[in-house]
Amino acid sequence: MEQLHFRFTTRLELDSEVKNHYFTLKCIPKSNVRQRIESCNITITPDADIFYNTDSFGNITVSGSIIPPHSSFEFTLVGSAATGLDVFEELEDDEIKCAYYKYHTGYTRPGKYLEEYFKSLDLTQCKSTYDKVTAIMHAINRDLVYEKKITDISTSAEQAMSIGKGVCQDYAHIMLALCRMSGIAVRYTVGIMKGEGESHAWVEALCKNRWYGFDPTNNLLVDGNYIKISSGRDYSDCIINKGQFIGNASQHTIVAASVTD
Amino acid sequence: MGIISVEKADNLLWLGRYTERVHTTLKEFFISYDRMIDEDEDFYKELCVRFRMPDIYKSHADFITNYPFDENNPDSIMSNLMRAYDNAVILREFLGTETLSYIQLAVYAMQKAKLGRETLVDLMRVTDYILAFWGSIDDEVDDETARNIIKAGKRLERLDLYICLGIKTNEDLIRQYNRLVPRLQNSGLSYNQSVLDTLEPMLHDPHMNYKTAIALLEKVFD
Amino acid sequence: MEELYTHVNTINELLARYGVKFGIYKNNVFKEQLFPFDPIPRVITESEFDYLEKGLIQRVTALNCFLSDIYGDKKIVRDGVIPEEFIFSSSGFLAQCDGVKPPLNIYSHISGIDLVQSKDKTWYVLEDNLRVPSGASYPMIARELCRRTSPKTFHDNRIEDNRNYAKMLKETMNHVNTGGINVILTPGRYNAAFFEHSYLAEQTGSVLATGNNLFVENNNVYYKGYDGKKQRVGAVYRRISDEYLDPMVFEEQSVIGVPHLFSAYRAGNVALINAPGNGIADDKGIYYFVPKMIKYYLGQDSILNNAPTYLPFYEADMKYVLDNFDNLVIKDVAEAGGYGVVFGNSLTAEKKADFIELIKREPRRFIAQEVIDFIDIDILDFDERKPRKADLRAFVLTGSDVRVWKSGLTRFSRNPDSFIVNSSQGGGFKDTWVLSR
Repeated sequence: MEQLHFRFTTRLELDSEVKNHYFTLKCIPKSNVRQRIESCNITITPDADIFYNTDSFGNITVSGSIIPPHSSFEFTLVGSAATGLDVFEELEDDEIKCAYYKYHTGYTRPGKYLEEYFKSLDLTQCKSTYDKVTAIMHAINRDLVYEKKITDISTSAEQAMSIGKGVCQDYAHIMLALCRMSGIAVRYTVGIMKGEGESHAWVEALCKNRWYGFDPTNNLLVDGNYIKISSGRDYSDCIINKGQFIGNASQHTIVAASVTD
Repeated sequence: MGIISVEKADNLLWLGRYTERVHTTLKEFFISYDRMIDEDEDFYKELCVRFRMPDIYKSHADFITNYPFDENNPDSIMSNLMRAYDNAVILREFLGTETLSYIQLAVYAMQKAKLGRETLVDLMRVTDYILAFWGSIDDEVDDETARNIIKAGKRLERLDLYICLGIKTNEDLIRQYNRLVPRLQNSGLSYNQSVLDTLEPMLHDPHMNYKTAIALLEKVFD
Repeated sequence: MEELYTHVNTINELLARYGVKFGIYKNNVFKEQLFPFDPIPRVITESEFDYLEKGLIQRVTALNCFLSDIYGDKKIVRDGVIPEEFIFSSSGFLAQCDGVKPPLNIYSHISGIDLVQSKDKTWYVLEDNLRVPSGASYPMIARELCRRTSPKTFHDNRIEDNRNYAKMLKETMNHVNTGGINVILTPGRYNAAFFEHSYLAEQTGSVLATGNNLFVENNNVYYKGYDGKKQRVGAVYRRISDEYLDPMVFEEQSVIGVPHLFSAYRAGNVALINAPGNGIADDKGIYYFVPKMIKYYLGQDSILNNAPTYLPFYEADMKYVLDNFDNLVIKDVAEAGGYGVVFGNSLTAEKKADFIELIKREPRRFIAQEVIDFIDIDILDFDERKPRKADLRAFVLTGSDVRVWKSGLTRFSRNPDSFIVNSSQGGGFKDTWVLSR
């Protein structure tokens, strides 16, 4: 078990004023058998009227609006958590209720690159789902090159596979695609990791009614160094800051996460 | 109907303005046409100046065929009628299908007049339908605020056009002004009272500067 | 009845007067087109309507049960009645709606069920439309005008008055309204069905709004007035599709939706008519399972017939499809609006072989159906009667009970060889009479 303190900031800078800004944030970590969120405070500037809800994937949403003109938007999360309480999350419903995690979405639908790569994997030695997922994670980590600025948030698993490069989002999408091609229920997971950096993405796979975390970017099983924020079918279900406003401004986003003992 | 949105208020106001513009420009067109028959062939040039539109016409014949009907010319009567239609068609639930149909009928009459031999007589039908439309608003539209906004637009446009035309007497202008003010007050629209306070004495002046007066009037909603 | 036919031009003129049009884009230019009306009605006898009514109520009841189940417990999948891939790999299943209960558990408030009648007079359901079925306004206003031109026809024949649609619709909205005004949400005047949106708003006393007239505050929906006042909204009859409804949940780029509308709906603070996610129930692949749904949820045999349908997904059906390929029509379940429909006998040998390969590779993607030779209805073409293909869209409204509108939209194709009755393809419409004796 780890006792962690976290701080997570996203700052959106706009080069001209915008108004009627509506946003939905999926940034609040939830307690589960793996992690216990002991405190968590959110501050939003400029001041906004907010309300909370839970989406269909079990994530907490913070929704709100800032109507007057403004040229920046920032939210900060400060809190502490006990992590690594267990190595998996227990399935809350039955398998049928989350069977849709077995099926492709726009981000994970395979084309010829993924099909070919999938054929090249030898999963016959794997006895269990857990073994298969682990083997897929090892393979991806071995065969992909981590490189920033080659892909962007709209890159699909197939596109990333075709160039063999990407960042954590692409690693996760490729892993989702390959697991789904094997008929395994998997979900995209967003969170923060011990140390200084940005938000991170990994994969949770359903193995015998338990969700286990796999981090293909680091070739690691998810442990007490990870704080999970949200999960869904792919990136689009876990967008940390989804927003719409009136104004013609270019945006620049700065994300800073810090997780310490 | 209860609450009127910003867009709907805007549509109601412009519906009033465009229907009035069609009505008054048609009236002036009739008078000018008559004059151009045997009195002053080039009278249309002056009409262009009065209506503040570019004189793009080669001859009086060109003017007579194109000014009312040219859909590609934003100053034509047809274009103004189409703008009225554009505003009306999104107001069906305020106006009612019956009232709205008079604008549609005016459009069809205009299209028919374009093809017809008896242009002036055919255009009279357009006027008939505009008048029927206004009458139907009084008769059918229950929402008093909506009625007031349309009429504020109509009165505003009429005053604007009358000032432009430069042939109306001070009494005419004052009369139109006096019809506009209560409509504005009852419309719930936010308007600039100081504009009206400056404009009103000007309308009494026989040597009024038309351009200043019009420029002022255009600022009433600023 | 013949007397009515002599008034056809007058009726069409009146339809033009009242702006009964639909919008289309031709070379990227928006145009409004009249929807041609044919005066020869489709006539449904009282006993025939009784049969259709019972069948439609049963079908829509089962479809509502299905939607509630699929976005809830998913029992029908667990019990093996529908294979899970038919649900979860369908683009109609919206995971964002999973677990969301709409007010009073009604998903499909307004259902448009498309039917055809075969030459032997058997009715078949061709498809269910549970998202935003349109078209009720046309027969409504046409009836109004027919009665004006030809009162005698309606005196001499006992025809159910169909102008009660507005009242039925209003009751449907009021039934699920969570406290506030009823709004019809339109994408705007350049939508093909804008006439209908504005006409139904007028007739039901609803507020016609575009997305920017509505806003969500503290998880409640409000309509914004020009004087700064706001009014709570209790029901939104939205005429925009799911993906544009709320940029916070669906298509982020949508500018015609309302941010946070879905959140307010999820919290039970507003009714959305119809519920988002209904696309799973009118999916072409799911169509096959509707009679099974009726058995599963209601314990009854389906009263209405589906067109005989085969799923290559099942081995026996695949064999049948391959053996009878030339007699079947094959539909791609992912396509809509007449696209992805292939008549087996229309393919060259080479194309046929390719197509069969495709079906074998992706069996889940296709359904195959027997071609129904449907009955022609006469239209009047310059005083001459000519037979044309026509279908019937029945409107079924679900509120405190499930009711079938005693009329419907009958569309016909202009082209004598065409089976396509879409208004955008130059077709027209007829009134649909339900006789009351």
